[in-house]
Amino acid sequence: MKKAWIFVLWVTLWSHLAHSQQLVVEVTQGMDSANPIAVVPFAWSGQPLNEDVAAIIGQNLERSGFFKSMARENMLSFPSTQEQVFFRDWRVQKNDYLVIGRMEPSGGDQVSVVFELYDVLKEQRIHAQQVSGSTANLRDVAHFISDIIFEQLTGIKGAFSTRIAYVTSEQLGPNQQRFRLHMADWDGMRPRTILESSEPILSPAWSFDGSKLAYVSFETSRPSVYVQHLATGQRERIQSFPGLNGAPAWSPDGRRLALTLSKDGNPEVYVLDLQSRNLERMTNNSAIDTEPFWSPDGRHLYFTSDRGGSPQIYRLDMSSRGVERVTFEGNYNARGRLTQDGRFLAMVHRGSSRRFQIAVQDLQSGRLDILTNSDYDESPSIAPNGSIIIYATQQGTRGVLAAVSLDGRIRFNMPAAQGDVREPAWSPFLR
Amino acid sequence: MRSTNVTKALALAAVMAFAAGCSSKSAKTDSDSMGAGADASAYGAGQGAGVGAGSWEAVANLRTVFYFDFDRAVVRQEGFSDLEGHARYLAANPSAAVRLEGHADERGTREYNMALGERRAKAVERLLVVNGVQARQIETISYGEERPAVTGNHEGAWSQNRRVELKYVSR
Amino acid sequence: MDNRSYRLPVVWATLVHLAAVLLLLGHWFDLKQAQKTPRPMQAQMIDLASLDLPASPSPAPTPAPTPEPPKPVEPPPPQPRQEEQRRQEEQKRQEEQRQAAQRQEQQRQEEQRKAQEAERQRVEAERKKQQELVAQREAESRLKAEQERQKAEAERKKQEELAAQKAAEEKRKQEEAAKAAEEKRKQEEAAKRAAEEKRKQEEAQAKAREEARQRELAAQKAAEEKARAEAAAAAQAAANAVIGDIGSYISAMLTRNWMIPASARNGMEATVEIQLLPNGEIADVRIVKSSGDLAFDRSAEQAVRRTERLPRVAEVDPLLFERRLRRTQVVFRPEGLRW
Repeated sequence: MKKAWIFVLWVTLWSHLAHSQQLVVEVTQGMDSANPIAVVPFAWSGQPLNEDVAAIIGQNLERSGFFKSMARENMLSFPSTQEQVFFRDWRVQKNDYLVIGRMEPSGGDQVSVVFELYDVLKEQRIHAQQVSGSTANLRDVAHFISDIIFEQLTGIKGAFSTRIAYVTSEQLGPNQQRFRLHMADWDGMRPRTILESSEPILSPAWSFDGSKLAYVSFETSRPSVYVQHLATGQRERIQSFPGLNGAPAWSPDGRRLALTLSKDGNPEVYVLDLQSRNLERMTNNSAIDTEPFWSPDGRHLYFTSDRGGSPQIYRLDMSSRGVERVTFEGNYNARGRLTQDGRFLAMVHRGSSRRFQIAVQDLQSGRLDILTNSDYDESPSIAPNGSIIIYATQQGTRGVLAAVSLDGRIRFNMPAAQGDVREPAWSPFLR
Repeated sequence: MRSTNVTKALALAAVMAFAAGCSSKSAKTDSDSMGAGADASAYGAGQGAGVGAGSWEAVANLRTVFYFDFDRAVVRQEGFSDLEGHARYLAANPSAAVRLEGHADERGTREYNMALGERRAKAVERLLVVNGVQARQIETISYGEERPAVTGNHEGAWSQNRRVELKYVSR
Repeated sequence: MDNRSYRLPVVWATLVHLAAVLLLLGHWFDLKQAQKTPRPMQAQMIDLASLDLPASPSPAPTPAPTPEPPKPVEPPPPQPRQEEQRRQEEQKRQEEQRQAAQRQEQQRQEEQRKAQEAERQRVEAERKKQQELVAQREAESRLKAEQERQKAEAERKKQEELAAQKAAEEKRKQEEAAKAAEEKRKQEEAAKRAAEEKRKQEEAQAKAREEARQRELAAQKAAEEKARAEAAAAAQAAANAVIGDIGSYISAMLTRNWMIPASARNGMEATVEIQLLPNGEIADVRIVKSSGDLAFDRSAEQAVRRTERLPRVAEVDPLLFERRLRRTQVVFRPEGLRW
């Protein structure tokens, strides 16, 4: 009897030991680098094309902050079909992923593009697809393929087919300025002007369906808020009040526009119902209240106010009308924007360094982190998938556009446009 | 009438002087930017009670640009006497009208600077109204940082851009 | 025994029946006497009326038809004056005649009235007689019911007594049997107890001997076990040291090959299982617990695939490898990220 009991004890002990014996290794640190990917030039035997689809895809992926594109000159071969792929070669050159493709004319100016995505380490094909487009819109095709590859590899919807709006200003003479409102691909390519004026244009804001732009124009020598339909170019002037008319921000449902007006003597935030034209005052404070923006769920209206002595970001609860301060670090936090999940707040921040930089605050933890490294960064605007922040910075005395990934890992400048570039606004997902 | 205005202005000047604090360094920068002509007339106008206050000659040489500190909307003391001169002229000539254009330097965000420019213009407007100018004679507008007077990433440029420009719309 | 059990009930039954008969006889005589005793008018009338009545009595007397009322007498016709005398005589004669008729009529009416009265009396008598009859019948049926009830009651009592007697007998028998059984059980128990006592004593002695032996054995065994455990612990410690060392080695190798994706956040966690070969080669890797972020999961898997081989694993004792390294879990949990 006693023997049996001891035996049972032994068995339990041993099985317990055996169970805990499997080794569990913990890895808490890694390399702060992106996944290497090789995008091989797509095969094409026709007339030279005006766009290099593979190059655009490689650049898109690299600019997302997730990937590092292999330079073409380092490639040992240029496969365009599966039989030509030798994983060992790509693996030796430390690539994780491989993209190959081939293009063929498919009548008229139409082109058929087949692309294949491979996992080099697993030696497996992940995805293959055929896309078609015209030779004139090969950039659209390249952005579309980039979106698919990005989503296949990260699970995050690609934002390469989205657009940006921005404002430029040029000094034409001693007292002559030219302001222009532009729209371009997310990478700054294919810009087109949608408004030009000798008076200031500022604060472009996309409607949530991407069909309209609201902005402030001084074209009547006083500031007014306009809404322009991008497809038709048709535009309308929203009520113009004495004093300030500025900082338009569309509500997520697209039915309301938050504005800054000083018609009652002091800059305050108002909400205009676009249907009923009903105007409601949201703030009431002797300080400056401006730069409103909505939470993605539309339940909060954020704004900049210097009611605490310095400009800081506050949050207004739309139902209770309660106001609470959101930013505390630094003596200047203004012009915020939220990621689509509502977790991260990007803003212009000035801390102890006394430089104006783009900072992001994690609203979950309250932690604020500075993402940029120059002196005069402003107007952060977040990609609809939350991965990249585009902003305005300065090169010499000239404003240019730049972008930084949310984790600060990658920063790059957008192609130079004419004049002083400012106020980029990233569109929502289009179509 | 005149005497009450003068005492009012003096009282306000005292308050503003206290509020503005010591900003002699900036004041020097400001006077530099104004050029010699403006500089010379600036002090003369202040004590120039002898010149007919209602005449255009009395304001023709007054300074028309007033400067501010960073993120502040308080008129500096050095501008008071010239502003009073403009106020006397406008009070004496009810048909005359001015436009006050507020500006900010390019640091900080554009819409916040737009509000700041408006505040500066309003601050100047209040001084004029206190000195007997009727509100209908004054129009205010803010350009924020959109129309800098001087370009450059240094305090010399910025201090000249944080300003309110007084422009006569009609004499 | 059987005879005895039946004889008594039979006697009892006879007695009970006799008593019942006597009781019933008494009743019967009582009734005769009651009928003989002279009764008021009603009794007499019953006898009379029953003679000319139909056998079956009608439940209720039928009412007699009401007689027609007498017709009014006609006045005599008028006489002419000329024949006054004759007329008067005639009149007198007529008067007499009329009076005679009247008398006759009165007599007739009287007779009729008498006849009616007689009829009425007859009907009344009839009704009374009927009532008497009903009453008598009811009395009879009541009596009969009472007799029956008494009889049934007597029968029931008799049965109950019988049952009680029987039950008592039964009980007595059971008690006797139980008593006998108890006696026997007690005897057996006593015997058993004695045996038990004896066995226990023997057992206690045996146990004491066994315990002494066990103590000796246990002491011996404990010494052996202690030595064995010490040896095992030493071996285990050595193995643990090796495994711990290999664990740090694997972690360092993977750290060098883990490219943390841009979407990684502090607090994310993915677990992969690595299948190792004794030569240190990584045979396979699979996610066993996802972080919920595709890029993060991929990065963990890729860190392992990129590592390809863990040469130092080949140095581990094959048995130890088999037991603890062949399947190794790796938890990827970034720390110190920006977010």
